[in-house]
Amino acid sequence: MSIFARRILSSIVSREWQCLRPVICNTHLRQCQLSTQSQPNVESDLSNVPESSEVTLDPLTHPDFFQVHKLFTVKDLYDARVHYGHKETSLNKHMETFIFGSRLGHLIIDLDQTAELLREALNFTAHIVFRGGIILFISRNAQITHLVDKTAKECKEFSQTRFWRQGLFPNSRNQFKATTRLPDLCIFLGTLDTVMTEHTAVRHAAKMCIPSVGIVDTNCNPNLITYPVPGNDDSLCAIQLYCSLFKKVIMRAKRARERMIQYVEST
Amino acid sequence: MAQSRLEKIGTIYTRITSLLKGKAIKEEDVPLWLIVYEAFPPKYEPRFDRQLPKKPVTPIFYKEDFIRAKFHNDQTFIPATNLANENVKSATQNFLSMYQTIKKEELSENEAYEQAMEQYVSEMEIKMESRRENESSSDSSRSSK
Repeated sequence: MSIFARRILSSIVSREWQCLRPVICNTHLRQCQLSTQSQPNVESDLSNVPESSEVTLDPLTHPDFFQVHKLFTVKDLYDARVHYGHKETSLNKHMETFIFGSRLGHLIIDLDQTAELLREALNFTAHIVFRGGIILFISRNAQITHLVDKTAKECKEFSQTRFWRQGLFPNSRNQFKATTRLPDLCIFLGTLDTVMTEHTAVRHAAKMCIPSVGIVDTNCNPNLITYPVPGNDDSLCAIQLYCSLFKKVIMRAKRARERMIQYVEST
Repeated sequence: MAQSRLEKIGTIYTRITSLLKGKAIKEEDVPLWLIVYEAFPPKYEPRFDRQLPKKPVTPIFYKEDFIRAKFHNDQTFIPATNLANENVKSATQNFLSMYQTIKKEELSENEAYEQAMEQYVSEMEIKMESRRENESSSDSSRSSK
């Protein structure tokens, strides 16, 4: 199924990724055009699905181009203890919707909603990586610092797990003493800085119009996170699951991007 | 780059699109996430002042909670459970499975509870004795060395 629009093929020389802009409304028309075109359809083998169709398609028009839905099941989330929230008294009122109930004073997160939102977040991440975006993993939990740094290193992205200086995003020019490219997506593996306060980067990412994906526990505020994923952000096994999922998705999107570039160079 | 730095107004998408509309940003400076966001918008709009419909937190209870509560009332000592090993069941889980097997023989609830309690207490005694023997044997072996 892997598959690109004719517009992309025609604008190969310019190698402008902007040309991936979708025209959702006339997909059908474009597919018809492509199937009747005289030159042979060239397809790059991007996903692991066997190629049967001769249709080329923009990745954005496909509902699940990177096969994110097959990565995990609700049972996997349950086994990784994603459903455990904090005590009822520390509930953030914006998290009420994502909560399944309270078991003897401890909140239980609704895993059906978590699965849906996590898939949405993974899909978004994959598309950003596919377009050459930079990912920044952020966490302030001391126990998982090593794990997060390792994950970022393995997928050749960036991570920030230490003290967050105030102007890192809005005043990056002075902070780094050079013009700085800010990340295109922030992934928060915990949106809290200390036990009580929210991480500054949540607010600053929204300020700088950087989309964010974040694991929000029952005591966090999900409002400023673009793609919030309700789930346990304290247990090691839950964090390991998130890290492995994000890593898999990023690697998958990078492989797709490499193949795309190879294909562009070969023609 | 022209930018609105007010994170409390609208969403990141509305801020960028309105800048585009007012031609404060050129077409080529558009952030690369914008197209992806348009294709896959998040389920809930990331507004600072977003109010989701209120949903009361409901308590979760099971039918067998009566038995659990009774068990915890009657037993003053409940041994620790190893959480790292998922195959090891807690004392409450063990007792509950005993109770359920006994109850299948169509006894009344009280009788089944009492029988299960007897079984549990005897099993616990056997375990404690074997542990004591192990400890004493290991102590003696240590002292002999």
